Amino acid sequence: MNEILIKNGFVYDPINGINGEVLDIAVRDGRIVDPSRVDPSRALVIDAKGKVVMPGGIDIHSHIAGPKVNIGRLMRPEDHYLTNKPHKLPHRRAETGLTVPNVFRIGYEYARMGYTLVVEPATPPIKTRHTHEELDDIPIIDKAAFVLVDSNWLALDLITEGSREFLAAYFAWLLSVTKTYSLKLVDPGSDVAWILTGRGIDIDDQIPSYNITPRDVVREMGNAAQLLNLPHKLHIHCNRLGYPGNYLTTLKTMDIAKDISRLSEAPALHITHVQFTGYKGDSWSTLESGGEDIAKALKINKYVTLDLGQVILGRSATTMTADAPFEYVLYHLTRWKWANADTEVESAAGIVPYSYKKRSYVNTIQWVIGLEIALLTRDPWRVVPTTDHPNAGLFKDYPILLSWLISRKAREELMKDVNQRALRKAILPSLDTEFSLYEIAIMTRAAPAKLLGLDKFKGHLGVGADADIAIYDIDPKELDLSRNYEKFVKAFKKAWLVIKNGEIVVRNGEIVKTIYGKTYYAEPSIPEELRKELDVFLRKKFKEYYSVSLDSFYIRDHELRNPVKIPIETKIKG
Amino acid sequence: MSIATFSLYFKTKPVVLIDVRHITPDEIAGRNLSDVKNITVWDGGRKTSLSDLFDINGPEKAPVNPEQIVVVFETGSSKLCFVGYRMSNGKIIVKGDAGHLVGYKMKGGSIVVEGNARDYVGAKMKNGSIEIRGNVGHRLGGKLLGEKPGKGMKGGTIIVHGNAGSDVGFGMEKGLIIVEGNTGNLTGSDIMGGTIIVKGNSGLYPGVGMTGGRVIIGGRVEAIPPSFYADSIVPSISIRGIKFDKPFMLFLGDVTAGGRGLLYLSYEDNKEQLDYYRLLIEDGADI
Repeated sequence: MNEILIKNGFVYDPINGINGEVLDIAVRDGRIVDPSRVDPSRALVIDAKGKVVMPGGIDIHSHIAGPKVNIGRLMRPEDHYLTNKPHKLPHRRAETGLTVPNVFRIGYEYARMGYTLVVEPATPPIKTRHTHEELDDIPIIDKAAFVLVDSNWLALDLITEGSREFLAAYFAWLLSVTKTYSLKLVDPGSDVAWILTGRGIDIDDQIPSYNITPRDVVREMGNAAQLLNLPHKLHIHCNRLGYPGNYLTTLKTMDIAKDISRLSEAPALHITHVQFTGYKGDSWSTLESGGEDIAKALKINKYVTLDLGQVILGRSATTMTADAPFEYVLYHLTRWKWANADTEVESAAGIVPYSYKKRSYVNTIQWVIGLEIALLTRDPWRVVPTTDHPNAGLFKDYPILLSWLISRKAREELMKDVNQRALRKAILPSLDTEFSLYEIAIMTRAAPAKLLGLDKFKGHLGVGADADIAIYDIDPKELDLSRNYEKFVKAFKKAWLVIKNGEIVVRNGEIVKTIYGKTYYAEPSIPEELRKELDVFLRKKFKEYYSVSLDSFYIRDHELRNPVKIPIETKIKG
Repeated sequence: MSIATFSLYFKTKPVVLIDVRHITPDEIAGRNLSDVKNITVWDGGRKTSLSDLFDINGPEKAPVNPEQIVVVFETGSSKLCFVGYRMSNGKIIVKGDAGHLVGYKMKGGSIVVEGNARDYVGAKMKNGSIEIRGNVGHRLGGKLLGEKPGKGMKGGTIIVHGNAGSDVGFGMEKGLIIVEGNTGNLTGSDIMGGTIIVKGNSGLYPGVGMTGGRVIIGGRVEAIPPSFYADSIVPSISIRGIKFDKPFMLFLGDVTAGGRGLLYLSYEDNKEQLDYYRLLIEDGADI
């Protein structure tokens, strides 16, 4: 019987509308229960007086596992020098790596910051077995993965043939056999173009050898996601990512939400790392921020949600994305090293090391865009802070990113060091918006849980939720956070106490216990007669396209450490 | 100037790699002997102190100026790693073999190894001098794996009296490396500047990826990299006080890296390979 009682803390629980009230939180058998159901004489009582109690953080987009992360590790040995931290038995294994850390550091660092659920946002279907192997080895945190579908030949064939129900059934099958949670589109159609012609395409260009455009792909896959009733519909990385002037493509992609035949009021599209696709201007030298336009478009389009992909200046990064054509361009800009992988008929990926410099004009504009979007929209339920780890920054810099949102002083402090020419073109210096701690709790806990559709048991501290709790040693009533942002960063970098599944895993920023979290996956239902038809189609296409047999493609439940099935009632008609 | 000598004797023969990065004149300077005995030494993954592994002879109080300190490892071992890490002054003598990363990131002073040393001798060193009486392993004066060219040795001198392994001067930026014996493959690969002089023979493709600097091979070369321009034949060369009284063929490259490095190969020793290039030069044909 594992009982914990957290007393006297300032509780921030946006889903239940609790804003800094002093409440008791009780934990029993890995779940949050009513305090009256816990016997204080037997329970472990934690006095959180003068501390902030929040649900465990959720990161909706962070490349933590999969073949491309592993290639990143292989091609960056210099990333692992002088970053080693020897093991401390029996609780902690050895840690190494900075931008592409080993699995243990990923789990521990997230836990130290009070994050308990992280989503790996891109895994090609045929390599998802590897992704799960790696996810299984990441300690403490809960995991989920999104499967890449945008350049999948089977899906493109189905879109061309125009059978919406059948496409939805195929996706339902794909999600359940790869044990993934939602659909990810990376630069829709570009990987087909990359493999066939060696370049990427814009949203209204034709996909080579298919008579459709990326716009059709997003719309049809959006329709399929509606039929599937997925909790997190489409996770989109827009076309032309990284090119000047691409904010127009982003606006067009956001507009597609209107063309999708929506079956529910939930957001239809999630545009990810929007900073990379918010560039105005004709060339690198005239680059400007498109943050204002994107913020405006988001305000009038309530079916779209965003995450930032905020650049952390002064840090090295390893860009890794399934947007292979862009990585090829970036390789020619950086002229150091590049890895590329084409994944059969499904996808491609590129990896290039990069470092964001404060004095660089372009990097400063990139830094500005993310913050402008967050501050101008001020819609924490729809705009989630991420760094697209390890593309724009490292996940361990989240406290720094949040400090820029919570404190104008923190932004101004950094603005002294950045490229001044870039700053003169931006409206960021004039923005005085400062988020409250409650809004930070929304952005990092409640909103991602809602976006993922896991808000029944994640991202809040109501009765019945999973006991994932982070306690930070900071007193919001005594301390003005916007003036003392360093204290905020310090407190959020190393949580005072973290409880995962009802067990204390972090104390004073140190790992005290290693447990392994769950892996969530969606299993949408498919009508019986459609399933038979699908089986015939798949057997034919696998013979035609794939290098593996259909039976080897299935990932079974026993191959995952702690799989949790989220059954979904779909709206596919037979 | 009086010299204070600290002599170190192994208590037992080491069986795992030993990290002696803190045993430098800079760290010892100004300390009492009892303090010196407590300096951290890693015995494999285990943290111990100097006196756990070594018997130490030395003055009660070390001079404040590290220049006056000499550290002598009286018994060498190929397990002895990080000798002279980041040292800036003084002298370290190893009377025997040394392990990996001798003089790693060294900033000044001198290191003498009387036996052999292993990989990464003088890697990333900035200044000072290293002398190895025996042979050394790979990546003499090099950078670490994965880093950009130019992150290797940045200055100072390395003299090796024996042979060296592959990738001599891998990614070096400046400085001087002299190998009196033979070297392995890819001597001077990715170098951006500095000088590498090999008096003996060398393996495959010396100077591949070089963008600057000089590589001189005084003996036979197993294969000449194809991405160089043959420039001329020089009757004799004298570089940094070292004279070769025989003709050398000068190559420019590496073209694939857009480089302007100079590669000198001994003409007589590689006659059968270089005759073809000589014909091209003498005919004035486009190369």
